[in-house]
Amino acid sequence: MWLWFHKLSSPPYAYRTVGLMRPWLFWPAILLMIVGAFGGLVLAPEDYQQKDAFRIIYVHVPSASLSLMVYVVMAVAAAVGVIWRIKLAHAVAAACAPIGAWFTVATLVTGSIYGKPMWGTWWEWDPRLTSELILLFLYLGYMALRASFDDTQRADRASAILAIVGVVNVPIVKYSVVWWNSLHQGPSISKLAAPSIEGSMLWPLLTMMLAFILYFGAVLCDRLRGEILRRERNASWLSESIASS
Amino acid sequence: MQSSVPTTPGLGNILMLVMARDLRLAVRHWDQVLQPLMFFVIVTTLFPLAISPALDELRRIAPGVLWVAAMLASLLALESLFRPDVEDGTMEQWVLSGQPLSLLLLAKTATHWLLTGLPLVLMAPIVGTALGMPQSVWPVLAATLALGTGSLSILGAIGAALTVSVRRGSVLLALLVLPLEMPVLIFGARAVDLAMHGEPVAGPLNLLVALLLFFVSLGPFAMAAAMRISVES
Amino acid sequence: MNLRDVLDMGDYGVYVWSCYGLVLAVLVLNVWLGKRSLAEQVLSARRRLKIADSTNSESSSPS
Repeated sequence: MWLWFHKLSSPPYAYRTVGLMRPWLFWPAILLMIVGAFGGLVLAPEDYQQKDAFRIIYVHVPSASLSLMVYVVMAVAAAVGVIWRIKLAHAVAAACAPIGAWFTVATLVTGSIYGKPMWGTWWEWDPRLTSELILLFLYLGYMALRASFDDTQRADRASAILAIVGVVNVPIVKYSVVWWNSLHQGPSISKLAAPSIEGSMLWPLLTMMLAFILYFGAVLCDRLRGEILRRERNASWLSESIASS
Repeated sequence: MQSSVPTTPGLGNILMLVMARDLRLAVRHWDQVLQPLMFFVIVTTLFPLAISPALDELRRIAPGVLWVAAMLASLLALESLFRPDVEDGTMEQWVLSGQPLSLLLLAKTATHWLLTGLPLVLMAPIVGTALGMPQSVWPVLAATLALGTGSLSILGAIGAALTVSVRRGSVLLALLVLPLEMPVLIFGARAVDLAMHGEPVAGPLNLLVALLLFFVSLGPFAMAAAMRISVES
Repeated sequence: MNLRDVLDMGDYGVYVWSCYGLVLAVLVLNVWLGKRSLAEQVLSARRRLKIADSTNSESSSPS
């Protein structure tokens, strides 16, 4: 296992392996999304309080979970890159950032649209949406910092520090936002909490979560291969791999 | 025979030297020290002009206004933290010196706080009164700002170390640092607000202490790592 | 549930379907952006190799 890991940090091997993995992530993801969406839109019974509007959670919650998960993956990859000096890990971190940022945007927009029929307003400063917004700022800051360095190595290491500082702060931010919000609502129920979930409502959600995770893996494969190529400017292994891809 | 090996000063002495040097430089350029303070006062003045001269309206937003102004002033002040030393090559010497860079940078940040954060803490009650804040709130205001500006200085120093070699990096610095500072803002501003309503402030105040201790213990390592990257050519 | 119900979503149709449509758009966009970034890199790598090849063959040809 360790040997495979070590092989994986060699760029040509990684490039090929990741390319082979991609369809195995992508097509199951599509399939699961179709199944999950159908389950969520058609099969699940309507919610007692929120009626059919609750079906939005089947896209909102996976987006939110992925937006956070991708940030953690990004920070862990960056930490691995900085501690063990593995270039591939830095490439993974760079590849994650735009994907995670888009998940955050999707969460904010669906959260806002979900809010309109539920609260009557397009935006509310509730804990979940507010921390998603701050998470978006963290992603954008990460990408901006990367972009401000011309040298890839320096960009990798500087943004790694930012990612680690960021991920450490995420629980602090979440806690502070929940506290801040609770001062107004008293015993608060997060307004976008999934309604009391029973079995027939739960399985489409889990399916969609898994689908989103596989989807992330697939898109990460493409972006990671792009990053590997970008970083291996003049390596000799390129000619073979590119000719065949 | 006497050995003529020169003894290197101990770490404690070095840190004292660092702080003394920065204080001396600040005394020579005291106008630079004053500028963030003036910014703080000017920004808080904007709010009555923009909103209303009525004190009871201003009183409601005073904690938030003071805190946001303090955050922005501390951001501006960060320009003078590392940039001069990086530009004249001093920082490179520090990185190469073999002394623990994290402690050197922490000492610099602490001095910087004395020069930029502490004046804010002292000025805030005056400005707060102008916004209708009652005197009874002054102790809480001073305590939260003292603790909070400390955390702001450390987070700001990490951002400053990351962006010191980026051309025109001040806006980038703000974008990186402000999201990280939001918890400090939340606890600090709301503590003052709670105090104004006569409610207990132990909760957020303790959280501010915890945050400061947390940032002081881990922040310097991030600062040092960031500085090494910025300074290497 | 018939098709009408699915489309209407009990008067919430606009909200539910715009959410699903938006998320679908973001997902498609990300796949497209990912593939495009890879294709760009492949193209630029091919170009670089071509230049490297041609300079190599120039320098190695007997003068």
